Amino acid sequence: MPSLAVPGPPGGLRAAAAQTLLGRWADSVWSGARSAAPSQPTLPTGYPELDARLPGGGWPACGLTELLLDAPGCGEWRLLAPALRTLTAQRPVVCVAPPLQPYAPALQALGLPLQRFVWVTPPDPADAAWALEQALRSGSCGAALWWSEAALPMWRRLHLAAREQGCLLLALRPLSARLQPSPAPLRLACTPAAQGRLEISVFKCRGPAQAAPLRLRLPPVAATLTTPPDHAVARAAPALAAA
Amino acid sequence: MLWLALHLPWLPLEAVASGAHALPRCVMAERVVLLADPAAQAAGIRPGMSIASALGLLPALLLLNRDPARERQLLQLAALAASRYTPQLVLGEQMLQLEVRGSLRLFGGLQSLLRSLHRCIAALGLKPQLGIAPTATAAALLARCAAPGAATTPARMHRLLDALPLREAAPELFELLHGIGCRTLGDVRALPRRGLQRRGGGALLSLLARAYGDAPDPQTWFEPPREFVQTLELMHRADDMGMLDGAAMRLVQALAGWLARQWLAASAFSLWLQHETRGRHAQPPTRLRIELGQPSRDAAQLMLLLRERLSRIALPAPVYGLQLRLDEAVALAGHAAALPFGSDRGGARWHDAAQDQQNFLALLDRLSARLGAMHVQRWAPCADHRPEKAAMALPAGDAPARAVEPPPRPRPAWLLPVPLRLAEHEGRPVHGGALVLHGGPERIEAGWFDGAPVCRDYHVAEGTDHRLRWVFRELRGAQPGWFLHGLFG
Repeated sequence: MPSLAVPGPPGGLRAAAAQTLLGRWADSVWSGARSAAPSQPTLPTGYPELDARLPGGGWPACGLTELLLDAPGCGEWRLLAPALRTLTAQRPVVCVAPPLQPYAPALQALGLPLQRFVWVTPPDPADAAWALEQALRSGSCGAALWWSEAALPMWRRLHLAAREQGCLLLALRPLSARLQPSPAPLRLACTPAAQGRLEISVFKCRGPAQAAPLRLRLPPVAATLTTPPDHAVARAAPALAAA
Repeated sequence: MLWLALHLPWLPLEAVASGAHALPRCVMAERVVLLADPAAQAAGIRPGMSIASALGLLPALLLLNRDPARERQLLQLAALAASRYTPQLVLGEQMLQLEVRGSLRLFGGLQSLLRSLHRCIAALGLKPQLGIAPTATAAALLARCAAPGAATTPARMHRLLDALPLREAAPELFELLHGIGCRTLGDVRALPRRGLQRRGGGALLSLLARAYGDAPDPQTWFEPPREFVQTLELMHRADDMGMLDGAAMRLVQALAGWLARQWLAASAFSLWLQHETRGRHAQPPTRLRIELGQPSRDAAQLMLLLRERLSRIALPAPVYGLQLRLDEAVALAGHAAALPFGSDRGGARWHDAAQDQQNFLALLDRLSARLGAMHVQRWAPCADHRPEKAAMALPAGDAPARAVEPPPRPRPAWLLPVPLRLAEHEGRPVHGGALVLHGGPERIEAGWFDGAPVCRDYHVAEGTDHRLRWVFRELRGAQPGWFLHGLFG
């Protein structure tokens, strides 16, 4: 039976030659077993377990990244806080269409500099997309966050604008958006789990598919959650009676 | 001295024309064609024709009456817009003359200044002919004759002037001089002066002396108004915003030039839309006030803010005129230039922090102009124990508030504007399933001093979906019970 293999040097030598070639063309040849080498710079997430799962070891520093949550309050701020802290040290962040009122003392406690955050609450999704595109095109923002319910056709355009201007665009969308196509190179679905963990499944990324979701331990919202509840009264009642 | 003369041959048409028009047009004065646009010229219509012969050639011709007052006004707007290039400016007959020797360095040389000037004049909707020479009169002559080339030295100016054709340069004496064999200004200069003077060429001789630099050439400088209020009547009533754009652009260019000349930057300006002032449809003018977080004198930025605002309002009535008025201005001597590293795109980009900051403030202005200032905010913590009063929204352009220590106990990243009343099941609050209380309580009792007292025990609670909520139990007040107040993000 004729061999289909191209005649060449014996096995050992062939493998060595392949290795040399791979070494020489490391940027162009994808070996299949590892995540693709990032073509764009990345930003550490602040969680080593998550960094290990993401191509390039962090959030893409520019372009669209999708985070799917079933409702606000899943732990998204604690997940994003380390990266946002790094970003806001250089450039401001624009948050478009937050689902509820952001609470300043809590964000401050997460170490986020509030004077570097601008909150835009446009009346409708078209205005939101406009505001976001303006923010991206101005080239002066480090990141833009958009809480969006709508499946809009302008995602690709925004993604390209973000990539061109070197800006991180984070779209926070409902879990139902998982089945919709998206131009985002990185998509994650987050569901809260017991014991203050966040279950993250990276269901789209450059590189091999990841079967098991990551159960990431987020920093607890308060130290009291791990210690027995104390019954101390936080603030004494005003001493009116004493008068 | 280096003079730049802008001759505006189309000014009579540009002053009365309204935007792009499909029909061939001509401007007439005293029942005679004064100026015909290229489409009309192609049909054979020449200046000096009577209306009847022009209409005979082209029945569809659109006849416009000359309006010298509008021409003067447009020329003044052009002078204001061009005064960003030099404070030494002279207005002439369809002519602007600028002395730019002192501005060359600031604008990066003659070529770059010319490019910028061309953009500025084109934004006003004008098509100029350019003349450059060391004397004002020579520059004007070169511009009027549309002579190619720039005369930056006296020798070159002499050569260019000598070659100017007599028909354009000296139309009054053209017949006489042509008859004795003169074709160019150079030929006229070679004639004996006394003979020419006797035959009525005195004015031409003194013009030549001033042009060639042999006689002094004093000028009356253009003085800009002390305050910026410019009105522009529209040629046609405007029913939608698109028709206002060109007129608004003329006013904004003039404003930007005026500001640059005074070293100012606008921090607030108003555009008044004038409606019909008498009759049944009389209506007071509509005012659009634009405030800038970052004062600017960049025409593109001012126009962008104005366009955003114009596109968002509905006109109450057709517009017949525009008035642009500068309300507030601050001194601004210019921005520090960045070192030229920023051009390297891709790879490691050099971020110029000052430039970024400026771009960001311009972005905030743009967002507020379209969405309204209450939709572009920053949040800042306040020193108050009551959770609903511990944060406040500020306009995004404001200075940061005073620093406040974050509370030592957990606070949710999302706060409900109004606490949501929760159902109770076996003494425990329910929100999409029974809640498990973690930690707490944190008692917050405050507000007895300003009439909005709260007395609550706050807990962190986990639901069956493992989301963490901030719930409280009302201890006093009309409705005791459990409430949801926030979500931990």
